[in-house]
Amino acid sequence: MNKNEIEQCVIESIAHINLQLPAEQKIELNFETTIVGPDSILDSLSLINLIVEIEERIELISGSRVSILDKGLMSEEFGSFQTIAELICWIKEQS
Amino acid sequence: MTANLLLLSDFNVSAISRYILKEKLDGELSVSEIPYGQVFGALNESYGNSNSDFSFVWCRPEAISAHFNAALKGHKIDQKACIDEIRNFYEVVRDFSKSFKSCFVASMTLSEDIIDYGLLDWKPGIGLNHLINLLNIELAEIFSNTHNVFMLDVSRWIRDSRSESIPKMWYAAKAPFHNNVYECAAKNLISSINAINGSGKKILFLDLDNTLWGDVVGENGWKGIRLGGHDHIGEAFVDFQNKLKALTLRGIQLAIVSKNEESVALAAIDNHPDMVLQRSDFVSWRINWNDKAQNISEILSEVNLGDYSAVFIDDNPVERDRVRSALPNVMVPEWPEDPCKYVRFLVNLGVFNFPSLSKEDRDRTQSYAANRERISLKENSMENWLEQLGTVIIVSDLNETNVNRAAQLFNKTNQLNLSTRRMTGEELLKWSQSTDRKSVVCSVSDKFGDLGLTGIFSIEFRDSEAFLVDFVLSCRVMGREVEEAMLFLVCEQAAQKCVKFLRVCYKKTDRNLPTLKMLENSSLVKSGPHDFVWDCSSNYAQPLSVAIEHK
Repeated sequence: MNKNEIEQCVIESIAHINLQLPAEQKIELNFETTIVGPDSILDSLSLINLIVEIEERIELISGSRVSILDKGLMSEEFGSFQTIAELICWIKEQS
Repeated sequence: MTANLLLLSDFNVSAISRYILKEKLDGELSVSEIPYGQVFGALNESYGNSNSDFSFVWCRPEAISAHFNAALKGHKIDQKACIDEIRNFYEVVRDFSKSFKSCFVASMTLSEDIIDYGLLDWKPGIGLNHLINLLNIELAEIFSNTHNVFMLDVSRWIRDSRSESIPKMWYAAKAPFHNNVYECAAKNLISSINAINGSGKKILFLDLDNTLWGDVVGENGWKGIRLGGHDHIGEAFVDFQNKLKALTLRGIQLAIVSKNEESVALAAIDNHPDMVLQRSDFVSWRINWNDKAQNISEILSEVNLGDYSAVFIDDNPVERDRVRSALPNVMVPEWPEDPCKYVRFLVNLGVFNFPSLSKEDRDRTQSYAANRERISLKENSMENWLEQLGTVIIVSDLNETNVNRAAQLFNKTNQLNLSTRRMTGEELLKWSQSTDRKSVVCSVSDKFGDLGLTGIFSIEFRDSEAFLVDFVLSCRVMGREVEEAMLFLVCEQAAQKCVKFLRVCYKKTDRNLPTLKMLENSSLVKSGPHDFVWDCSSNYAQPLSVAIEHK
């Protein structure tokens, strides 16, 4: 997958998760938005929901699996990324 | 009115909190959660001083019963021991529920990822499907006599969500269901809380052409509409009407607002052989060319209901938009173009929820049909009308036999309600059993029929004075001097206790303005903006049109 396709998957996943969130908890669609760590607006369940949504979307479009949850998020303290831009770069590196 | 809901589960139900925050509730609802590993400890804590009005308990049977867990792993189990484990747990829940106004308990379901017994899965003593259904029946029995506990159907949420769970969400976040299931749960909880708070939907406004039947009656005549017959669209309209008829038998009222010639539309209702709904199924109608929002307002005023209790169904998006903008409190669902989907949409609204079902509820539409006759009598003259009605009030003390209906009226009446206290039947009975308090219930009948238990008042006596604590009257009997007769009874009770004054303090809510107007029009003396008084050395006049019988 190229970077644009990954960006599209991430943006669509955020839009999908935002549909489930109350107004004050919605994720700002900005590449610098922090989604992991103490500054994140997301609680743990919403973060896992988002990651699983992105994984499933990428698998649907590219046919290949990327394990963001276990390789990216659980591998180190606060994972390998904190912002949306860092997440997109990390996925690009894996694919 | 702000309400609080406490969530307890053996798994992660945080998604319910966020869906509840996202949904619009009539009033406000705040949600708190017990961390999902701590449900057993939490059940044994005291919630006597908790701020929560409602609680919701959702536990997987495998987390409650070791025998059930063994059954999931393929072992043959002692079924009775399994039932005992479930019963023991939910008896603790029953005690826990006493600290709350109401407690909701989720039914038990099998996980999507079990290995069942296939052909043998409904065999008693073997099958897991048989076992889980047995446990749910047991659960219903445990709570059968507990009036503040309601079971909610999880299998329905799973069906309505049409979504498979995502295994990773269980392994990573201990969330065993798809988010859509939690969304259905949140909607069901909101609807249930609204119903208990007296804010449930009570009246359904319906268009006619392409809503109750296919095509336009004004163009084709009643013989030309699509209804029943060997026609799948006609059958869909008949089925839709059948479901609406079923709602009337649960106390939901139907009304027509249609742009048509009245005589033409009523001819279809009266003459079409496949018409399920008859004139007597509608509490009122406005079949004319006026603005539908105006017609709805008129009918709401006629049946004494607020716009928050109404739902409007119309196939025409322009009419829906008009009503939405003019009456924002009326629920106006988007409606499908395909009549075959009408029943499904109606069922999925999920807003017709009832914490109890009385004979009065079942008879409500007939009662309103009788009301139409009363109103036609009223058009002669007010005095004649009241006299001809032959209204009788049967008065009795609040007791074990009438407390359930009294509590239902107490908790769902908004307009003629002095203090809008909300209490369970048990609480109400306990409160009134004190020697310095008195609670009285009033049943009303007239020549058109029995309207049932429609009024309650409670008085507290202290310091040589009587204080009217509750004064609740169903909107069905408002405006016919029953309220005056009840005030007479209140003053009579006060005089019997030899107190000097009766004091009445109106507690304002956003819906009980009719109570203030009623008090201002009564013979009580206004002593402050919201305060009224009666000197008990004088007799309060009994209205001549109402007979009173003491039971």
